[in-house]
Amino acid sequence: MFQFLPGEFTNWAVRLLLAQGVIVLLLLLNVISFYLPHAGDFKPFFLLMAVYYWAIYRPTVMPVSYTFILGLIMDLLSGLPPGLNALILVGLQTSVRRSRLFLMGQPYIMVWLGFALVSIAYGLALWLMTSLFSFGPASFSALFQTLIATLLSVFIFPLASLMLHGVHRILPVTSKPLHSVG
Amino acid sequence: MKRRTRSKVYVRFSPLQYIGSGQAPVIFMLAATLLLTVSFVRPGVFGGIRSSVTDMFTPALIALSEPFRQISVVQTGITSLSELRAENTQLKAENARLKEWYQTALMLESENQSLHALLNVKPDPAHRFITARVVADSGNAFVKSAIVAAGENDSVMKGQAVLSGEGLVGRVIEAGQSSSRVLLLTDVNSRLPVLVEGSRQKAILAGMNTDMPALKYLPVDADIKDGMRIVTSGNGGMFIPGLPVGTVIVKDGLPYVKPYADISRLTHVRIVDYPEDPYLIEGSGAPR
Repeated sequence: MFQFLPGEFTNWAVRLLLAQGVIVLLLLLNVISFYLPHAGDFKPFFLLMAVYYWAIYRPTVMPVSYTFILGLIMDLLSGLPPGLNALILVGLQTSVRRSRLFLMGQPYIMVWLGFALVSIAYGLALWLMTSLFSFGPASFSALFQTLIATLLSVFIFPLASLMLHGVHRILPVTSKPLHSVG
Repeated sequence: MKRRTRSKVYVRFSPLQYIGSGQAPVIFMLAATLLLTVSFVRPGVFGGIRSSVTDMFTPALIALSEPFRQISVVQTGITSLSELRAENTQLKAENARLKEWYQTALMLESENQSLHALLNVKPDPAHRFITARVVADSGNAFVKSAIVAAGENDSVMKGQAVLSGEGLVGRVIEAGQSSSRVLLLTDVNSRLPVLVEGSRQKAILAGMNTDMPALKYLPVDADIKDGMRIVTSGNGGMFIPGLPVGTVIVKDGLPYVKPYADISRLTHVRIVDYPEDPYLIEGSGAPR
């Protein structure tokens, strides 16, 4: 028999919303102005960190449809052609999910290394696709800036994963709001 | 006799379930590719959606960027006593120099006014400034744009020139209700009609995705030297003529422009509320 318990439901909803809130926060961090010189050019891939972490440890937190929508929002906000981030993020998420069982059993340094590979792939894919749209001498300076952004992302990832790990610990065990009694 | 009960098997089919079973990535990647193809063929088709999404997120962007702005204010505010002394001496000297310039400017202004009156010159249409906060940058190396927290509600319109305190920054390319997107003059897609002050030579300022945009379409025999001032030419009715842009720097025989504005680090901008085509403005005495 299932019984609806309002207190439990609120608890469950708040915890799930926190996880989603952190993901949206990372998306917005990717876009907001830090008011530092060149911060926009070398900005780390914050959203990619969330995509990578949840693809390994809790794929149900970020379904593919959700990643697609977040990628699309990021494209629209950052002035890139719509669908670019959506395509790359969904692609990378799927490939990380394929190897999640392997990565889950590894020490943290391997997970970090995995992220380094994923962010290199992300940066290169972003560069290749934008170069398709407009290729010129400017593409090379963009490649250099993207590589620096990739390096920064790899250095910042432990911090982000620490935060996501904190969120992971308070996530409800079940993804269903109804509590089973009796 | 015991009745034999058949176990019933319920089969439920829903298309959503099918999508969720492993086909989802393929379907969403196809959708993204389709969107990309559309934006490749018709780049402007998503403009409306882009500005509404930006409008929707602007409150969150303003709230989230505020702590970073505060940090930046504090960071620029911290200076040592010796630095303050040096700055003070420098400012005093500059003030004395500017006072002389102020007198010269007043004299020139009155002379200019009387000459205008003599020649019966048609005055330029009046313009005003809209000051807005920069809340977001593009966040990547491929697009140099910024989102400012002012839109059509504040009479910001597509095509208007955007300045920082020092000089031209770019132009408005999309205006939503409460936010608008500024294409910075360093972006690879930015092309602005400019004028080399002194030689009166017209050129196009083309963004290169680096700090210094290039000066293009100059005649071969154009005499361009380091330190020449670049201002907007006002050609095509796009901007007010004479907005300060930057100074020329010749590198490897090619002219580049170092903008007066620190484009890599913008906090506030001024948007020039100026009619896009001044020749369409009716003369004085016409009904408003």
